[in-house]
Amino acid sequence: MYCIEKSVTLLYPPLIHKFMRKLLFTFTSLLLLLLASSPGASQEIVVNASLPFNDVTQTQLRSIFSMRVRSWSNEKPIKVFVLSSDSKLHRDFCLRILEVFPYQLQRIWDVMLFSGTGSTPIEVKDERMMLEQIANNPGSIGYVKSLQGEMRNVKTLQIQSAPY
Amino acid sequence: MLKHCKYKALLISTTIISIVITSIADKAYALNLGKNNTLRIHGFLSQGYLKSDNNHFFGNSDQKGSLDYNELGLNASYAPSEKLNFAGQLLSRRAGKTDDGDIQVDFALLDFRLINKSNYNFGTRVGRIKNPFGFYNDTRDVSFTRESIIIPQSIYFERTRDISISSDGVEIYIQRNFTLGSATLQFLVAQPRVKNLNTKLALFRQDQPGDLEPKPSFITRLAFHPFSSAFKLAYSNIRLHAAFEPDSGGSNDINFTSNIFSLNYAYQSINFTAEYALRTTEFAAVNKKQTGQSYYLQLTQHLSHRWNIFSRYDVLYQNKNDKNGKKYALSSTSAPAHSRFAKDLTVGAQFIYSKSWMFRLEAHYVNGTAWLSSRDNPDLMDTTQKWRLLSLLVAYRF
Repeated sequence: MYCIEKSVTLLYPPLIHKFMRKLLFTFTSLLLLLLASSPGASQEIVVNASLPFNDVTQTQLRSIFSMRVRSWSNEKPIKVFVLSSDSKLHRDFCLRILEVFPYQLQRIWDVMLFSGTGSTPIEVKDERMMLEQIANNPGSIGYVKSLQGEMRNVKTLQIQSAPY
Repeated sequence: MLKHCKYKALLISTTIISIVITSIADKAYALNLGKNNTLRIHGFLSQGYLKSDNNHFFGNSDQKGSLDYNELGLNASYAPSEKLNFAGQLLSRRAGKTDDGDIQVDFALLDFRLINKSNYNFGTRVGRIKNPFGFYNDTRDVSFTRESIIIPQSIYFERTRDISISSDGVEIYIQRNFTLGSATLQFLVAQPRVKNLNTKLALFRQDQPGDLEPKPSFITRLAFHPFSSAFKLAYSNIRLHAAFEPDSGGSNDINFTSNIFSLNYAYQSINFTAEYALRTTEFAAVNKKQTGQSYYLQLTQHLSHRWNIFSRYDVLYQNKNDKNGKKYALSSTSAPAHSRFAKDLTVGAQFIYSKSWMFRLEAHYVNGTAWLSSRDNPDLMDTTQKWRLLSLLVAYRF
């Protein structure tokens, strides 16, 4: 951090010296906060109950949520549902289940959307809407904090530990 | 350095724009969540502020600073079936004297996916298609998809945008998932958009009486994403052809070739990107050939889901056999040696307020003027070799 600050100072003596110092201070504090934050909540992968599988690998999940794979191995189309990337559950899902940063996924979707080369996941308002959509759309996949009780037309997928 | 009144102007314009857009956005979202989610409408908007100590970039940036840089896009896609997708985007962009804000069709295409299997996709796109090269070209005008306010100029020139951004033609794509990773091949056959003054200026340095005519051109990109690591690799090959037909008669072929190697690596909160390109411009009639070299290294650190900082070193040589431009300057009276290279050290920060709002600040320390436009800097002899540029940007999307 000090190195960056020093080089910046050399380049822009009067211009942003003070500002950069403040900025760097903020960054450092934020970083510490980030490191201090505790892990916790688990998530579950939910799919429409008509899907003839009960497990999935992390690699498959990454391909599905990055929209690179668009159909299940039985060749039925995949319909992907997500929560807003502003939501904590979405961030936790990216970091803990997919183990990718939310910005990486967002970048992939944005490039597809704004170059017209692919479709992006369908965003739903909350977990209730998520379950409703999953129940009503064959081939759909999404995530919730936990699936409480029996839910018609919805089942969970277990994540396999096998690498591929 | 930054005048108070400029902050005010920036704030006022941003607020007005945001109110208008937010009211439109609510309606647009309704369409997005419509029946079967097949018609989707999205958009983006950004306003930049630039202040340089010397030279002009995107307007008269060296005096009170320039607000003459904004991007506005409206994007629609409609998928009547799993195999068919219509997509299009209108773009209005102002950037100094190089872009006047006229609404343009950025792309408008029909995507027909012939094979759609879990590990294998094959299809074709027809219409106006974004040129598939490098990591950023496909969405270079959408600030949310870039890492910085100003995209690395060594590879994504603003001077020749019209031929760079999109072209009219046919693209074939194949995507295949292997055990190790996923590979995508795109092959585009198209007519480049050369009929404009910016392209002429980039080729000849000044306007010439005559017309540039497009000829069939080819762009290929091969990208690979291994499953087991966070690498992303790409190789792009560009072959653009055109003919210059002077008013005095005759026709001279102009060929442009470029090979671009791209690498991206994401390790936890660190994201590293590097691209390297060799570009050859050939004027067949006079047997003149020139090869330029470009590269940049970029490191982004994501500090939290809201903050990131980045630094970049970006280098452009117009002629790799005359890197400092000294040979060129001996025979030129209209452009100095320092117009033949540019080395740009950039540091910047980004604050993501929400999915829709984003703010950026970045500072450039540049040696050389190779990527400055002669439209913003009419007298290139009057430019300064070492210059600095500070930029702010606010962006909105829906």
